[in-house]
Amino acid sequence: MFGKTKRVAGILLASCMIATAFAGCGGDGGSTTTSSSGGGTDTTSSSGGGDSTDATAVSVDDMLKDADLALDTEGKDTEIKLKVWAPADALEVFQAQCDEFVKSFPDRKIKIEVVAQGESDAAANVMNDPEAAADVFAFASDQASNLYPNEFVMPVRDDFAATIKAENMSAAVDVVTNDGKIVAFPETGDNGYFVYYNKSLISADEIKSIESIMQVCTDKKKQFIMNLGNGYYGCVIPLTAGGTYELDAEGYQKLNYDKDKVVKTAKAFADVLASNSYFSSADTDKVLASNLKQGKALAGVSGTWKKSAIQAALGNDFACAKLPTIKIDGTDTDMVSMFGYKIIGVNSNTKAPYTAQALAFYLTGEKCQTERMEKLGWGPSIQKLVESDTVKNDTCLSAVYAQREHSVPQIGLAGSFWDPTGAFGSYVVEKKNDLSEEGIAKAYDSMYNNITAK
Amino acid sequence: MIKSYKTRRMVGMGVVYAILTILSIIWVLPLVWIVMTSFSGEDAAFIDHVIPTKWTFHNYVQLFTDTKIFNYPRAFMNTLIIAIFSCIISTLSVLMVAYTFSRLRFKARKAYMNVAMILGMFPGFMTMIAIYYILKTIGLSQSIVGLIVVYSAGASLGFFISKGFFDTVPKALDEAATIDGATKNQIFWQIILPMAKPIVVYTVITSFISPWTDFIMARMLLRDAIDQYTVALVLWNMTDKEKVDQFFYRFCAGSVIVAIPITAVFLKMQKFYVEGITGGAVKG
Repeated sequence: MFGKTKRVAGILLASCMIATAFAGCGGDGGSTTTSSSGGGTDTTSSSGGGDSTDATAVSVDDMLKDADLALDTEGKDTEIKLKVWAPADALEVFQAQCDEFVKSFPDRKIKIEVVAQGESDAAANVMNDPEAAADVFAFASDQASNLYPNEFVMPVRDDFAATIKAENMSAAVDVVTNDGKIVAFPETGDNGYFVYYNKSLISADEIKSIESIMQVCTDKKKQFIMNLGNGYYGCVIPLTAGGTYELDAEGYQKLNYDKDKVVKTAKAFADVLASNSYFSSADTDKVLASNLKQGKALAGVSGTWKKSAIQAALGNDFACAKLPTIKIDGTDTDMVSMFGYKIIGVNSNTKAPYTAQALAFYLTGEKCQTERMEKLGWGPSIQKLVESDTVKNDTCLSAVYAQREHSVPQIGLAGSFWDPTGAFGSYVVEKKNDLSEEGIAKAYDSMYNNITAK
Repeated sequence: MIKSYKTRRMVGMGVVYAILTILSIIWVLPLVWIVMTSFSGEDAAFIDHVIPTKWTFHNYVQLFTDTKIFNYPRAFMNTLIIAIFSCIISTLSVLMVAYTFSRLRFKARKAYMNVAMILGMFPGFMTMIAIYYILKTIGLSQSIVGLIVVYSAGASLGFFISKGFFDTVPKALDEAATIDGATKNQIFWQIILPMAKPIVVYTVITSFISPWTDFIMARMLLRDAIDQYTVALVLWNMTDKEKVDQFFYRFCAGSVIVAIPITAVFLKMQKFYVEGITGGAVKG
């Protein structure tokens, strides 16, 4: 009697566990199916969007003047409703720009709603449910490798693409290109990191090399913070050694690193930073603004997203510079960083492909980029604006673009890249580790194998 | 060894109290920290001293007045509405289901209970994606109505504790009421429920707290519908790397305020809780 009950209970429990296991798979499978079905529908709609075969470049102004060219027949009879995702603090600027766009086409019925959505979440939200996502959305370039191959974004019309290619910085064009086709609109060219410093504590000359920074830190007993334990910043070590990265055909990470050079560079980092107690690899996203404010730190590495917080913290002492140089084999070498771009994409599921593309094109055009540069301090991606006086006179933006000269674009990265790179970075600056060349070489091997493991 | 009984007892008590004190400090410290930090007037968000050097009420004021980027008051109201409605619906359904399983005898009653037990073993968020697509199909995604449905729909599966309590209420009371001509419905409302106040209170509190503090379902369902956001989502967004320096103290203030409705519900309900336990079937 009891034996039977036990057996039944056992079978029930076992089947429960199996069901759980399968349910997990089912969830995953479900989301892949949706994404691929999303991809299926957009082939049709994208061909609707990009039917102009002649690739004569159309400028934003030309487009605004000619409603038929810009919008085809959309909005003539029925009202077009578009949703745009923009970061919360840029909401007003984007809404004003969208209103301006609508006003350019007085005979069309268009309604645009701008909704707050952080750029870091946008891609994930689009992939989770493309139908509920915005028609036009901003995202950071590191998300591109997920969005492009699965056709979450609609390829750009050829006539717009020609203008994008002609106007933007070449690296910004690279990050919106997939399989030789332009698939999105470059929005900013400033998504990278550089040095923020307190200019009352360290001079513009001293901030130029890591050796002099650490010297000043030691003299003044203040910190220099760089989060080398995070792969995003930790990759500075292999990149400074001339490394690059790409994805192979199957989507696995490929690293073009020269082991001897990376180890030598890492040794240089270890020599300057590991033994110095004023170097901190704390999370700059959390502590940098606070520590600068309290005078505990004199400089630190972070990106444009921290600008307003650090500006508020330092006031008149606020200053920025490109990453410092580091002495490797006796020569001052520029630190090379990873550099991202922000991109505006058009959702493949949009019901108004022409209007959405025209809007994205307008939002990333010269006028809108200038406006955002002036009102929000966002760095432009259009070459002409990058060379403008506004950029040169802005300490933050000029540092961004100076660093961009020594950078590798943030594309072609697999998920496996980040943690091992961060682990290698934190190994190098930790005094208690074996920091001889052999020790570092061992850490390098483990990073390399973990990243490229299939 | 200590000979005197008194000293031995003193030492024993001393050790016990020392352990309890340490435990209570460990337990209370995070709460004290968040309350203190929420009143902090420091300039920088991440500081290395625990007790603020400046005190202010400003964080709370800003939380409710500066609603441009994060609308905390609206999120608070949304969460309150969700919690109240889910609380009413799930309390009623849990108690009714528990009464049914405790008092009525019907075919497959045992089987139902087993099924409920097994279903209850699955964590709620396992079916999250399915729930999202189902609600999307019926047009309830991205709204607090959808959230109320999610929180109250599966609630009645948790009837076991209430059923256990109802089982302890003497069946003779039901029989007496039946003889007097009461229906099953009347028995439930007029005999069993007044007898089961502690479990009613328990159900109300648990079914209020779970939607009030939920993050996963809200995040899954609401997506970009900012005007429907709950407190959990707004607070989470405040800790975003771009915002955290500006909003850290408001985040702490917001976290403290979250505790108020729960405390209010509990204090209000506590009276009945005690009453229910001490009260009996026989009134003299």
